[in-house]
Amino acid sequence: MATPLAQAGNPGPLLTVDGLCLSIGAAALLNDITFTVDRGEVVGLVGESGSGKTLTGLSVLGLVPPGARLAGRVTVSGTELTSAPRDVLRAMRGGEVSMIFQEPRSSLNPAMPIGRQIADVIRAHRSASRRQATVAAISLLGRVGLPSPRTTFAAYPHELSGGMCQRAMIAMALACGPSLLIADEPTTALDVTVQAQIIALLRSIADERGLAVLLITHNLAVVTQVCDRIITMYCGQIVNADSTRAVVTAPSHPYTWALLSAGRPELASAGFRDPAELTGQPASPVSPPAGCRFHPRCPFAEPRCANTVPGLVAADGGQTRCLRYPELVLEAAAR
Amino acid sequence: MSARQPDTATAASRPVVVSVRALTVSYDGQRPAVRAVDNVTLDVAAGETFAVIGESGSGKSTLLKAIAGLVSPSAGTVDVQAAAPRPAGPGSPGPVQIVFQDPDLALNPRQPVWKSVAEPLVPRRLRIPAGLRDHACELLGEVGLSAEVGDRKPHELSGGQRQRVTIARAMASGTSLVLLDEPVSAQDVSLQASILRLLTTLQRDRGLTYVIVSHDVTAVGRLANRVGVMYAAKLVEVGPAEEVLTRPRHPYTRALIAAVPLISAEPGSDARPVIQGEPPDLRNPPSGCRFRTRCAFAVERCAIEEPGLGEAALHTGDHQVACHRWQEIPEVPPARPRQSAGDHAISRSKTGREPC
Repeated sequence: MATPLAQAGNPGPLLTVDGLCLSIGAAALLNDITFTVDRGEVVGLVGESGSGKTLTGLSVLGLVPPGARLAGRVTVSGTELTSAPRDVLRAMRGGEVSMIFQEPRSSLNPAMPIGRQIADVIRAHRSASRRQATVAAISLLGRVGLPSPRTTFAAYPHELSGGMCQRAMIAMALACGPSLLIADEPTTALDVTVQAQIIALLRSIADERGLAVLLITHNLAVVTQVCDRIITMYCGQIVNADSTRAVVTAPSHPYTWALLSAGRPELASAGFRDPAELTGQPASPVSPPAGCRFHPRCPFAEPRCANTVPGLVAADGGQTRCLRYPELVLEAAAR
Repeated sequence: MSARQPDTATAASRPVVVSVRALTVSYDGQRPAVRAVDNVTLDVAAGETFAVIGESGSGKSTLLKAIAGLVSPSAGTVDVQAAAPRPAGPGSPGPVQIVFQDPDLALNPRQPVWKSVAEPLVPRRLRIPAGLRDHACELLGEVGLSAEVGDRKPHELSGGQRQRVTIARAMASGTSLVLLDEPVSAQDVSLQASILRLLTTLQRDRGLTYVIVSHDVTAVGRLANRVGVMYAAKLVEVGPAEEVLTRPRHPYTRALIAAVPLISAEPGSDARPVIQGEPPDLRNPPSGCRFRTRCAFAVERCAIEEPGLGEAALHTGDHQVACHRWQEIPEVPPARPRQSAGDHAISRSKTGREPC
């Protein structure tokens, strides 16, 4: 099922987020967020809770909390979304761009069979008969690896495990052949074995359909397994963006380095080893620290980091927001 | 408080705090009845951290509830000898407390958190002790919260602070045994580290014994001395944490550990096989070994004869595995892609400043 829009041959990136700012009252929660996602590219958006990664994902679809002020531009396949009228947004959501969330069960209607919910999405966006939509839904359920798709079509969410519900959510997200999938912590609530299955599924679907994925998660290991590029957010700002290879082998920002070091799975150690690389709690974007927002927690901070606000500068093919970038060597050496 | 620290050599000589014998818990409301815990036997020694890992539905939370006395055994026994390590203020050796997974649900939203912390003391007291609030605030201090936090309502606290409050409450009765249900699941690394750090400190200072239930293998690896692995209501492997996590013997434990994502420089480079399928339906479990339906090593015998834990005790005697074929399966740990990709040594800046 190829997507007509993906083949339209729009030049330039699929998703362009340019100078996105979001504030609620006096609190600036997102600060000049600028990035692009190319067609078929899998990009990870990482950071701790409160860094603004989920808000960024929601803002792309205009799903911002009431009372929030959104500035900047979000363009998907040439359509500007921040100022788009409601009907354009409606057609976009679930059509060209779809989204899956952390808790699949709370995203599904508990009182309606899974298959009908998927068929409804198809009929909302396309002129399809009930029968055609049913056939399409069953084939999608099969594609995402659910055993006996016909039985699953008629099953209610409570009859399925968490992993099966997330597969059903992915089937629903794919229903209208989107060119961009925003996945917000899709595996955080799942068992590690199921997580591995879902990660493999997302990657194979992205490759097979040329689907671009924006994967939002705090789990860096998951991101390095599937993403071509990694964007790191801290305290409402993008602090680092680079290819996965560059991020893993030589991260250009101390925060990314600290996340990698602290997030390394440790199976061998009996007894707790304190990750000295990342101490303290994340700064709040409501009252961000002066200078570099990461400096109070940064192991490499200097006095000037507390006074000078670093800009997001080019760094070896990527971008970093660190005053000391030219002199720091944050290599990931083998032990 | 010097009676510590868990040292595997002396573990055997320390008194047993939790003794579970042939425990079966079934939920009869389901038809047919579901055995959520099936014939589980284990011991937890004083001062150690025993972790139970397994997927959702493996019965690990039910096991924890049975230890806490929140569900009663259908068969077998649970014996808990949790003595208070010291007379703790107005509390006395008290009931065993569980720290639940979701601190948002575990605290009364309408009362200041110090009252929640003091709650385990309330049923026992005859009159409101004058020092109750102070005692609660003292406990909050031990978990790294200031006394003023005690007067706040749960919604005024961050998720990490709420988790600390539930830990303070678990210690309020002065018990030496604390049960933790997924204490650090779904948290980001810094919050996870701060809670693990707190648990380690409290264990050292108070001589606590922990029983932790988690599906997060890596968090467990950072804390536990001994690990038990549950699959479909059965304990399939148990032993010292380092042994079980780095040299897993049971095919299920291997699959579970192989599923932990590693940091890799090449997306999609992880060639470790992903375990397929889902755990069996406990209303109708497979015959013989319950893992055989997903096991790459299953043979005819596995469908006929149920493997027992301990029959195949390893050379250490302490590491036990319930698998007919564990001796035939090569001892190599699950294949890992290049070690270097997953390991980040602490780097220093060129100017040589140490991380603070």
